[in-house]
Amino acid sequence: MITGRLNGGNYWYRHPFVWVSVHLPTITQDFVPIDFMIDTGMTRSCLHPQDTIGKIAIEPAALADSARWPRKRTAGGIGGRVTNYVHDAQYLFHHEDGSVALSITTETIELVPPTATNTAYPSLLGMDMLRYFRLRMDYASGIVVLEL
Amino acid sequence: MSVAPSSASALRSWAAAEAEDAFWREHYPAYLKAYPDQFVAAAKDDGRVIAADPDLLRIVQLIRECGLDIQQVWVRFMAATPISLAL
Repeated sequence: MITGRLNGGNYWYRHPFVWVSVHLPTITQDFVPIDFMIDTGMTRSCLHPQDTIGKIAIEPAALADSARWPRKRTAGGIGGRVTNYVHDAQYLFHHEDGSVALSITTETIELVPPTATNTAYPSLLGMDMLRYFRLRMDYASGIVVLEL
Repeated sequence: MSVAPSSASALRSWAAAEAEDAFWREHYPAYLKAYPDQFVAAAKDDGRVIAADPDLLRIVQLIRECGLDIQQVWVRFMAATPISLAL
């Protein structure tokens, strides 16, 4: 069982978050913990600049240069269309004691280039990951559970 | 060729997540008042705030000017103005 929580720090309503370790081959050497917002409206998981720059440690100049990223994917949303960079990724979902509940090595992650408005956004865990779980959220108790 | 990280790396990652989570749970309310609508960078080793700025790219620069690497700090945005998301 993977446990997350509802976090109200930045939003009108609390939103579900869960810590996931990610490894981006050729970019990271170790697993890096990312506090993802769970987003059932998102098709593919993504890292926003606060995490790509602040945790994955990609240089801002590298993120701003689309020529450095050979794989791209355009996604549509309420804010319009955005072209993200696509990179292979390994995801680790942890039990509460830190042991690995599930390792997913067959998926990618999208890196969202920085814009004037997106630097404070959370990274998003989309349906490409959520499809592996039964998702249970209890708003009153503030608990989110991802069950295998 | 890229080598997959070890299982020890996975445990370190989880420990790092727990440490960061505990840090922000303890300090977020105070930093929200002190640094509204700014990114705050805090040193992982002793928790001291080393930089605060509304601009993420400026924070990266300030961290380097302190002689630290981005991976030696925690960075989080202190959203005093509630965000309504439509992602």
